[in-house]
Amino acid sequence: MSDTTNHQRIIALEAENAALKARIASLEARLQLNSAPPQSLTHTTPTATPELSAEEYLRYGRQLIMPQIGLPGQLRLKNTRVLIIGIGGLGCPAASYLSSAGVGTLGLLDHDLVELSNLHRQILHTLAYIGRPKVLSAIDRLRAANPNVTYIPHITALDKENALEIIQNYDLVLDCTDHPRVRYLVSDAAVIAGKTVVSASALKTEGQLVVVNKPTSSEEGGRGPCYRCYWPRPPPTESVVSCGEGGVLGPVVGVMGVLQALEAVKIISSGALEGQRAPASANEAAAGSPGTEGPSKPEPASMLFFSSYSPTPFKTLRMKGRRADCISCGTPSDPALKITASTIPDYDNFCGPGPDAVLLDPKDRRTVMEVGEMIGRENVVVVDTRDETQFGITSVGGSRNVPFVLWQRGGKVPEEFWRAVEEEGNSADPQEEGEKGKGTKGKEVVILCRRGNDSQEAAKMVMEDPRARDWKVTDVVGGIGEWARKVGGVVEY
Amino acid sequence: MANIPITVEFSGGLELLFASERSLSLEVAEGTTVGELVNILVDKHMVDTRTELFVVDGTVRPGILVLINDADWELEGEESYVLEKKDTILFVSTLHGG
Repeated sequence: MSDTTNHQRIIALEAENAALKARIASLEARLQLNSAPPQSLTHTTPTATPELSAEEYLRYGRQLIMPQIGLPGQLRLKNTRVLIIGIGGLGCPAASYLSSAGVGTLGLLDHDLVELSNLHRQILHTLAYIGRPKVLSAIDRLRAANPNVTYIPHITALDKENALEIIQNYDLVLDCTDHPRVRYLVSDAAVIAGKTVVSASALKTEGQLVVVNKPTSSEEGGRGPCYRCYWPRPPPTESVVSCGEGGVLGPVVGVMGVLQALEAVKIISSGALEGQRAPASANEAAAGSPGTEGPSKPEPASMLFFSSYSPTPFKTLRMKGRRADCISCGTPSDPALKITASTIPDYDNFCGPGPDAVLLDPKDRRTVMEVGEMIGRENVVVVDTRDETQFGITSVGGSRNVPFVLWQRGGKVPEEFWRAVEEEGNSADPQEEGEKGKGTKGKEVVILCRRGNDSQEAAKMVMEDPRARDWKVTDVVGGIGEWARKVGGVVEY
Repeated sequence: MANIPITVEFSGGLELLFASERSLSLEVAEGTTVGELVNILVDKHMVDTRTELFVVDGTVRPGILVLINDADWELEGEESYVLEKKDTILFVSTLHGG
């Protein structure tokens, strides 16, 4: 068997092992629950048989003595099942705090494997887990700190087939995902299953947090807005930027994940979710108990907005709230549009196809090996369209930087490009100064970017410009990343 | 008619469409609505030619929230809201990373 097959086999066995352990733990928990006095879930004073173990009183003592938590709040945490979808920059800190706070059951869902470039922000993962499932890496670390929690691994991507089935086994969901199509799916499924979602996102230096489908008395139907109420229509694909493309600062996404854990603790310990399982009467909900702020406190819809480099980094934005005609949580004018368990939409179509553009004819594209050979020839100019920051990290010797944003701004080939090509021509052969530069025959301009998408767009713009009619214009398949792997002399990042 | 001072802010990546300016101090004619302000921004302040990343079908595109003094513009009458002195209009794009 090859190393790869062995490796995959090990991963599969580990997953199976973790799933079996989780099953045992959950069965044991159920056994305990069945043998406990029936009133234990709502009882607010300790009886002769303490509901927490001596170890738990000590472990949770510092939060237990706060009036917002108290014994009722701690018991609610213990009796709540939370699903964390996405064990990345948001999911890692969120899972850490929920596990240490004593949430009884934590489900962790992610299909991804740990990569080196995750570690600057995904604080649960360690070097030992590179190439192995994030879910198992996280559970390993979480269990080391708090073995009282039942951890349930879901090593899978969330899709319209499995979403409802998984989500309905939990009381509260944390959306820690990284793409709009999953965010809409999580919200739609949670609305159908009647679950609250704490949803956060982050990019570069900013973050956003909303609580979706939250029990509240200030909205008709007793629920706050869903994700579609906040964002009724998906953004155009070209405006969706991932952390891999746009970058993200670890503490920024960390703050958002911690805030998700905090919202979850507040919602759970207040008892707000108890009405969700079996709708309680309004009186009962409003009555309250020590450590209960009650689900009935009117709370206008809001979005927390974190802009870490702003002089006022935290803002609470007042939002409109539920849309009466929402196709997920409302009553659409056309009843056929209403999303139900059997009509969860196809989010790939809804949010547009994935990236990886194919704009150029293959004959106008070059491999990194070809261009690597051409470097240094006097009639070859390499133009790199990555931004200045990335160009400053690593670049091909002799290449010129004309950031892509300049191309997008003008919608045409920027002056900076013509200047760069002209200067390159001059420095390559000072004697023929008059002849070189724009319009020179036999010149090849090669455009390079990070992955080979922007470079195609830029090359196309140059090809369509009459000033370049005598040149050969090409771009590099796979960009600087491929260059680092195949040619060398630059680094992969 | 007199002009009134307002502040326009961009975030969530929208600043890239406006020469990376996160905040603009503008003077607009009294009586200007937010809808008119959006057009002024596209005509006079947007440096990126891809207007469809900001405006689609005559209004801000899906995935952008407009906040008038930190409140969703839908609470304030959307495009018909008439700007007042020292208003802050914030344009926020949805973020997806995590």
